Amino acid sequence: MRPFEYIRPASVAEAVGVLNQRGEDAFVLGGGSAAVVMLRLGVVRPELVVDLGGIEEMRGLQRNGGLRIGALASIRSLELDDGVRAAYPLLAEAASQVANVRVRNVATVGGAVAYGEPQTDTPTALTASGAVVRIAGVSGERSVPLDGFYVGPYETVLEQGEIVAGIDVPEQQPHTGGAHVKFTVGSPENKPVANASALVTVDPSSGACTAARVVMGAAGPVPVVANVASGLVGGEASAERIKEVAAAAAEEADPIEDLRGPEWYKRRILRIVVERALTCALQRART
Amino acid sequence: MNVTLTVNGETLSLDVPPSTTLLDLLRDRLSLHGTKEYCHSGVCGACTVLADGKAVSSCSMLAGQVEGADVLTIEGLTPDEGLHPIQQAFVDNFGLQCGYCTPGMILLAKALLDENPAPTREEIIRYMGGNICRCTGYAGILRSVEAAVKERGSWS
Repeated sequence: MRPFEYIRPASVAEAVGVLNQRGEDAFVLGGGSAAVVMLRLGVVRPELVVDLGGIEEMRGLQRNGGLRIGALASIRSLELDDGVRAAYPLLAEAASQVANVRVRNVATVGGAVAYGEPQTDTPTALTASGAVVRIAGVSGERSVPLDGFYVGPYETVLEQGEIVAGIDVPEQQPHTGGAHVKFTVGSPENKPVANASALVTVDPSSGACTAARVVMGAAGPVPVVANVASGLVGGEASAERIKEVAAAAAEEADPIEDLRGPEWYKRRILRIVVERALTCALQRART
Repeated sequence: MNVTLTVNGETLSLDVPPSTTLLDLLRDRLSLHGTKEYCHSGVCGACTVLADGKAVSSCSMLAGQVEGADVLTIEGLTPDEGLHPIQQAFVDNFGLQCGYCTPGMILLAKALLDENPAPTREEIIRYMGGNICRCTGYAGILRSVEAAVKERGSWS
């Protein structure tokens, strides 16, 4: 690995201060599962690595009506936390499907969000859940909805010197069900050919759908919100109707050909994962 | 830079370049060659060690990230005489062929059994599935872990 300086700041203020001062010479490391590989491959060649891992105020998961996720919370903590599993099963389900247990133990939620990789699970589920990114910089904190945070693959609205300090997820309405469905070709790195997160709310008396949101991952340069899902609202969301919505959602996606398949194949897979995610979310919302 | 950490019960203070990974530190500085290197990207699991009880890929962590951590490698798991029960289970159940993935598999199995003393077959497959055996000896590995689960009461 190319040599670099290394610091491990103890506070957000210290971290953004040094990042602001060192500009493009500095590189941010969260859990390291992606960052250390990028350093080794020479994808990035920084003078200075700023390891956020020692910042206590960026740790942990907090329930305060909604869910406040510290950027350093591990993917594994999202998977295992009892509160998350009870109130945000969609997030726990998506987290449990990321990579392998070694990666989930160290990879952070903030890192997964800031990295902006299109072939991953956590941002898909967080976007479906209406998450908002808390961004820290030298001039203070600002918040940006995750739907709008991504500019392109590995590109976000983060400015030089800014970091993801945390992610806020709003409280879910009663009678809401969520599901994350991922399809892989069984390749060892466990990245999705395509995935879909669905979040559906129903009226318990009539069973009609009152809110529906679908987000697709590995489906374009950024997590793709399927606008067609809102068409389920007001109706009974029959199996037939879900099939139609899933087919239309796949047409809203913009997948690229890569080692996980050509575009036409990914659209067919998207249709299937969206259908399964919606069907499962609806069933959970009704029980 | 200076890093202080505990490896296999011994607290060490080491001067290393910041670009040193935990894997480099174990293999090159401490000559603990039981931890293997292969994919260099957190995928294969050959470099699995336990850090504060959790399975991690030592190739994908910088030395600075394990400041103060308690690291266990296959050398630390192995008793002075004989084998750890998980190691013995792998021997008894043909859980290895070439042996390259074995230290990582055994430490991952240790992490699993520490977290969940009685995992089902499904749970074992899901947890262990992230580590790769290029000999494809997965049936033997699964048998070995299941045997270790059965023996779980006799050791801690």
